[in-house]
Amino acid sequence: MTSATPERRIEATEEEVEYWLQRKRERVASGEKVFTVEDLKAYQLDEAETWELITAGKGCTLSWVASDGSPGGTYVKHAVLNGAAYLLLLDGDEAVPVLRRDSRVSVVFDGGDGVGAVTVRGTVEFVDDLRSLIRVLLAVGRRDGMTEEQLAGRVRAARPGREYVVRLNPERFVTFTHKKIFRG
Amino acid sequence: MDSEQRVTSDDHLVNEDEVERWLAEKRGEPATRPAPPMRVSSDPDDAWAILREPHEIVHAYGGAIAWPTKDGGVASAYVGFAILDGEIWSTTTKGRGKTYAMLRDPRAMLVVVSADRQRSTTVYGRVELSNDDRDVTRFAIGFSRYRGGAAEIGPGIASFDSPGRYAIRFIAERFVTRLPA
Repeated sequence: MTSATPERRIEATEEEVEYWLQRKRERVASGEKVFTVEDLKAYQLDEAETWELITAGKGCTLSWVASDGSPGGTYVKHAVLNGAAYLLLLDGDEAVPVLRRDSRVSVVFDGGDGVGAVTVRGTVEFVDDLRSLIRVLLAVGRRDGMTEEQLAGRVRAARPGREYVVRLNPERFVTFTHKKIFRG
Repeated sequence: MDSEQRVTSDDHLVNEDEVERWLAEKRGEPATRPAPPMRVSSDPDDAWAILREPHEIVHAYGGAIAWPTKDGGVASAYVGFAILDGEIWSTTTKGRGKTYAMLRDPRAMLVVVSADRQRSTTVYGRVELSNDDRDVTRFAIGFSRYRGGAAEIGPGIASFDSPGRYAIRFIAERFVTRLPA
C-alpha cells in the first residue's frame, strides 16, 4: 500500500462484528423476513426514466478495455443531443488511442443519492467534426451552469483535433434506482 | 414524477444559429489555444482526498467499478463502497455476472467523483472476493456507518443478510486523478 492513508478511518471493531453477526444469526434462526437487494429487476427504470437520468447527470464514467485486457476508465462530461449521448474526451486522455483501436465501452451514469444509476454497454464512434464539438460544449457548459461569458470562453478555447466527441451506441441498458433498495 | 416534466434531451440548450456563428468564427482560427484547465496527478494523496469525501458528504458514497468480461470486453456498474482501515471495500452477490467475472479475473478499476463534480480519481488495482460472514458483516457495518451514521447500522446490515453475499476488497495499485489546473 502507498504511504497515503486516509486521515479519517471508518473501522469496525471485532466486538461490533461479533455483535452484528449474532444479531444476524438470530434473524436467520427466527425466520424474520428481511429486505435484501438480490433481485434488481424490481428496481429498474423505464425508458423515459433512463434517459431522464442520463440527461440529468453532469457527467459519466467511461470504461474501456486496454490492450492487455484490463479495464480502464475516466470521468467525462456528456450531452444528450438528437436522441443520442455524446461524450467529451480531452487531449491526452488514455481513452482516445484505446477507443480508436477497440470501441467497446461500458458507461455508468450516476443519478445521485436516491435517484439511481444507468449502465450502458455498447460501442463509441468518434465524431470528428467541429459542429458536433461546438454543440456538445454548449450543452455541457449550460448544463454545468456556466454563464454565457464563461461559455463563450470555453467554446473559443476549444481545439478541434485536441478535444474529441464520441457518440455512444448503446447495445444494452442496465438500470436501477437505489432509493427503493435502501428505503430512504 | 409527471412524465410531461421529464427532460430527456439537451437539445433545448443548443441554438443552431449560435452553432453556425461559432463555426464561422472557429473555422478561420489557428489551433493554438491553451488546453482546457485540467491536470492529471498520480499522487495517492490527491486520490484519497476524493475517496475520503463520502465520510463528510453523505450523498457522495459511490463510484463506478469496471471489470474485464469473458469476451474480452468491459463491463461496469455503480457501487457503494466504504473505506475500512485504509482499504476500499464494496460488495456483490452470487448470481451476478460481476461476481463470476471478478472471481475469474481480479483486475478492476474504480472511478470516484468529487461531490462538486470537478475532480475525479481512477483507482486501478485488483479485487479479492470473500464470502466469509465476518468480512461481509464488517463491510456492512462500515458501509452503513459510512453512509448514514451509527443510527442506521441496523437496517443497513439487514439488507446484506442474504446468502451468497461477498465482500469485495479493492487493492489499489495505481491512481490517476484529474484536477482543475
